[in-house]
Amino acid sequence: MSIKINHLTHIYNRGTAFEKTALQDVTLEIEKGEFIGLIGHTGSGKSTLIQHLNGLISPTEGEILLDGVNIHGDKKNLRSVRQRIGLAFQYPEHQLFEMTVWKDVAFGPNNMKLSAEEVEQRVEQALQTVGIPKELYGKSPFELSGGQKRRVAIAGVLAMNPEVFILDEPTAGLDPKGRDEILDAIKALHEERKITVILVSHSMEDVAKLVDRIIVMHKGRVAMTGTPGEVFSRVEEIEKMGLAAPQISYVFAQLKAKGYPVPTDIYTTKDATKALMDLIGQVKLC
Amino acid sequence: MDMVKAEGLTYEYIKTIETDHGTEEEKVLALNHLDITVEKGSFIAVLGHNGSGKSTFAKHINALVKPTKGTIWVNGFDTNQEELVWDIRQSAGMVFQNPDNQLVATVVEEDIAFGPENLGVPPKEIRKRVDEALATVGMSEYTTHSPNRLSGGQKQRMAIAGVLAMKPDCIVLDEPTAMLDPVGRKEVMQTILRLNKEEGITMILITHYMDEAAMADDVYVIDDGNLVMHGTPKEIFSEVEQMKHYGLDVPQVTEVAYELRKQGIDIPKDILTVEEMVGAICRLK
Repeated sequence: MSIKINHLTHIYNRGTAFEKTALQDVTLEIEKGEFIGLIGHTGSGKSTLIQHLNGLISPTEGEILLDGVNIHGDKKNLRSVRQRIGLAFQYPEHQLFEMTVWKDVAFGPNNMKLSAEEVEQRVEQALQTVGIPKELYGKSPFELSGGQKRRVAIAGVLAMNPEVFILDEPTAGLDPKGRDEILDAIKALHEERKITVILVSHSMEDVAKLVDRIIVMHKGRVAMTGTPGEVFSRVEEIEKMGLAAPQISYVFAQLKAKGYPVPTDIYTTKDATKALMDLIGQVKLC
Repeated sequence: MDMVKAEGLTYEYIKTIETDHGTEEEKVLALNHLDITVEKGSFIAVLGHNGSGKSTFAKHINALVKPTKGTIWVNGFDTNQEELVWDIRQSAGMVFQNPDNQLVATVVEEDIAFGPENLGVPPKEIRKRVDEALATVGMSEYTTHSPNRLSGGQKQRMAIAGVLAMKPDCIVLDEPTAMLDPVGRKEVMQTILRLNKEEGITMILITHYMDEAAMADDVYVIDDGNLVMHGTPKEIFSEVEQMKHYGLDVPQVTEVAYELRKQGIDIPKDILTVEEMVGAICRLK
């Protein structure tokens, strides 16, 4: 499913003293199966944007087309839009409420009037994808660790079989291990289901590890879009927008500035080690 | 004198679990015989994965929880002594993760005044403290604003100002930047460093961000209630394998230095910052 955003503008509290333009003439296209990182500092408009995609708020101007159909065109369509575009909010574990992990994940599909077998299959698959072991299915979700809880909450959205999955800050507040578990789960769901994933994050390291394309929002506009390598090689511009590139990108920017022959599109420790080994191999240059 | 001294600090609790079959009880050992000494004026960081016990330790410093066994002295006050609780809470203030949960008033200055008002500080002195505290965290221009229109970083600095107005010797911060964006994180970290260096306030920072812990004088690692590592950031982070074993991470540059060393490159293992990394690479040449 392709998403096409045409000249989207959103103004909060229009005509009042609190009028604020959150999105200004945003035009974007997201292809089926893409893995997108949406970054921007607080107030850049990224949350407003994803709330439009899920039909939670309506554009002031412009439109959003899902496979060519305007999602805000007919209110009756919104229910199906929300099934096709799943949204996991920040701290999704706050929305867990059932007695067991299994029941919690089954809540969404149960409300979709599916057969019992279909529900069972979806729940099982979703829990498997996010890496929750069988022995936890019967446990209360509140007994789980922070990272596990969040994965159960993500499985709840996944069980609705969305075609596009939007995750808002899925790693906020987790420890490094919990963070890696969530990121692995997201990676798995993208690879297994070939669905479009939009990852909203402040964490450049997280984004760098996973996505194909980064969209940088700044002051309600799309400021940059490109592969992680393309975006993170523009360290100075990113900083001006109140963001930060992964730590290792700065090392390469500084080495480059000192005249060393290094690439500047490095953002993971693996690529960095390789690039530095290459550089050290040519030592005799200096 | 020591700001915080824990001797054999142990904390146990009974966890009740609701299941389909009824209620079950389980005994949890959250802290196991911790010995930690924090000197006055220092800046320490406490690391550990979720559920490791680090927040439980933090709550002991503020006497929000009392030891099951062992003793913790805060500014010389034993937290086991009920009558000292106000002295303890005035010595050590706390800032929590979610700024929205700790703001109480509808105007910034009233929120900052809440603490000193409850200590019975005279009005003139309160005015002075509120203005000073807001100036210290760089928030003077927001004195009469409503907190709900501030950014996350501003709200956290406001929460720190609220603690400052109570004139504490020590501030315990439990993941204060977890919900903030990079700008907000930087604002809060700069505030913490400045208060430590310039005002001499002891800072105890609980965090998941390794780059923040790298700024501290001393780092403690807690794992399943046990104190497993203690040292300077350089000593701690250069133990890459051990850190990963405890479910923690190291800064990217430290990890790259570790990988380069594995490939036989002679580079220091205790690199923590971009500048150190660039310097080390230039020296290789």
